[in-house]
Amino acid sequence: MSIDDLLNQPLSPVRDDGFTIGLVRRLNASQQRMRLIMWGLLAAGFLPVLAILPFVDTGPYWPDGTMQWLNSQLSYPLGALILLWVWKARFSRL
Amino acid sequence: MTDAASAEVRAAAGDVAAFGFLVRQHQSPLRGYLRRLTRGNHALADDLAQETFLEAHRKLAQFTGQGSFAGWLYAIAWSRFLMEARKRKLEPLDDMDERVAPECDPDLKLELEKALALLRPPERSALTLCFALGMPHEEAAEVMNVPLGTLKSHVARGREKLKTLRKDHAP
Repeated sequence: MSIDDLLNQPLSPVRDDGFTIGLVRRLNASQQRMRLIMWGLLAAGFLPVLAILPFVDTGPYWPDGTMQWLNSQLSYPLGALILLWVWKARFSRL
Repeated sequence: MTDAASAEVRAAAGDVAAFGFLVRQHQSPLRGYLRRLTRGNHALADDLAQETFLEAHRKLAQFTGQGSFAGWLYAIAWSRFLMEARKRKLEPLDDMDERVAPECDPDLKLELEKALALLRPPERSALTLCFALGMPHEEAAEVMNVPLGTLKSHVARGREKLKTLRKDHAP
């Protein structure tokens, strides 16, 4: 057998033996961790604002009528959306 | 669109299951390639393969689809191996390494691995990519990030060394 014939032989197959599953698990875990960090950072950014909001009169910072419009036009659909989202998450787990 | 191509697109969009399909498809030749580069160190080769796939997943959006996905993967694996080799000082990468194993008998396929282990990593990589994995020289040069002429000289030098080894150990 010549050197070229020997070299042309394909590499010996390597059995998966959980290699792929392990890698996919690791990827899923890291994606979950990233999501958690992202939401954590968002929450950390908003929490101080939410904590201060009840004690600050933000009215002067909004254009006239904006707060009233937000209250009447947005609060109900927003509430419905949040409820829907919570229910959907709960029902999809069943 | 083939299954593999659609998996590449879906994986690039963040579909982990699609990426899992690509891993399953490429793990055997890639791990075989890395095992050869690491001279049969299976644990290190598998660690490098895992790092290669993780890096590929991170950089999937950068894969333009101009070359083959496998070629892109091998390029990551090769650079990972080089980094690891430098870090661990596994073996000299640039100096000629003229070690000869007394038990080496390159006539047998099993012994080919031992004979290849005596070559420098770029020669081992070039021979594996061009022969065992059947890559065109141009693609192998891209994988190893070297000019085509350099790749060809790695192949020629590696073959010559193997021939010499074979002659030295002929009965």
